[in-house]
Amino acid sequence: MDLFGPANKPEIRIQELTGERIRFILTNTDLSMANALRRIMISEVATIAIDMVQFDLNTSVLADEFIAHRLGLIPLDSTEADKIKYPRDCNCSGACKECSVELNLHVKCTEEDTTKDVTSKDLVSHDPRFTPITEGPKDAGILIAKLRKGQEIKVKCIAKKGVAKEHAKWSPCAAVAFEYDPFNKLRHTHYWIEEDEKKEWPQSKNAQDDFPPLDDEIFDFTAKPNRFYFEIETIGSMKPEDIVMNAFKKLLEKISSIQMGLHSNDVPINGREPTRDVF
Amino acid sequence: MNAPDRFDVFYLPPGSQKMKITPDTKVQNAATFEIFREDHTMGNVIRHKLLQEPQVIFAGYKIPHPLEHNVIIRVQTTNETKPEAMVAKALNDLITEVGYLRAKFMEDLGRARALVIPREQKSMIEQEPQIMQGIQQPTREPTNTSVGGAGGVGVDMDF
Repeated sequence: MDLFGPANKPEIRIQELTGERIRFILTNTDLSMANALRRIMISEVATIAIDMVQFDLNTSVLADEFIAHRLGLIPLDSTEADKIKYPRDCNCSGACKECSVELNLHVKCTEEDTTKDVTSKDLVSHDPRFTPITEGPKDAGILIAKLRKGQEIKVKCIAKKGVAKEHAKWSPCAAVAFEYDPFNKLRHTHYWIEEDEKKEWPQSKNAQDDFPPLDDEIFDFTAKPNRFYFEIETIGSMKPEDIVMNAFKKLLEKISSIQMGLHSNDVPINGREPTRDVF
Repeated sequence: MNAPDRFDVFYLPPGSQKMKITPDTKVQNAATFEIFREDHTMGNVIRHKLLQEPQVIFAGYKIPHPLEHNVIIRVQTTNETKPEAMVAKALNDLITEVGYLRAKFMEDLGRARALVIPREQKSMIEQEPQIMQGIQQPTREPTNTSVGGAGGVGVDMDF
């Protein structure tokens, strides 16, 4: 690892880890790397989501499209999403077991004077690995529709693997908070104030992990951001640490695919020896 | 009807080339690299790595059209080397850096998980009725809804 000097090795420190969120600090890398990680976590980590819905019966007051959209947004357990193929990579013509999961929903309201809630708990998955997520036995599930007496919904859903670049329903993150320089030492932002900046602008949560400026500190115009604060909140389909791990994996895959592209243009992969006979 | 596939944004059909290199006709040691089906994620990160090399005189990237999902990176180097070699080195360095970061993250994850477990076990004891059900459910354990308590989702047994 002669790439980094002794003092500026990239570093990651996890500040907080729970079932649905992770906070970490990324240091000694540049903004582009931190931003690439953020972008990939939001839009390129693969998950499973309902993508096609076949309506056998819908006598509810909601339109088919409306219900189909709501079904698509339900988070399915995607911890084993890497064990399933992308539909476009599969040899089958429509949807097979290797590239899709079937879920069924059949609810009819028979109660006389109350409406019946159709929730994500009514979805029956054909594959136990990919089920709608629930937060314990007390969880009522995610509401899909409400039925009056006699109304009925019967649908067949096909869930597929995808990434959020195609549709946001495949994003594993509810929110990715990203911040650097909480004290605005780099002056990348300008605070609108009436009288006093310190009084009018509350400090961010990350300020306690950063180094506050001295009162007489001179502005360093050559300084670059090198400390990045992340907080990732999942929608429940994946563990937060898995999102970060998958993002790193995806980033490596992306770089190596470009490396392969360069190599197919007759450029040696390591690049250490300049080729002078290319052109 | 003639709408492009949604996955056209990021999916390169097998067999098609990922990158096209065009040497500059007027400037020595300059070339543009067109990378297909990539965006700011890779464009910016490669540009940044290139600019860290002293032999690189110019490096910039652009996405010429919002409906064409390609990135163009332009590189000019000194006479000591070639743009192709510098891009190859930048990619190589990126692999090392990301690989290193990933290893660092995994390392720290062990430490973080060790700190998380006692906290989550404690919050489960507070909610006694859920404990038995929590054990019967192998994959996902019940979450407590108390404010400030750590959620119990996804405490796995592999450590």
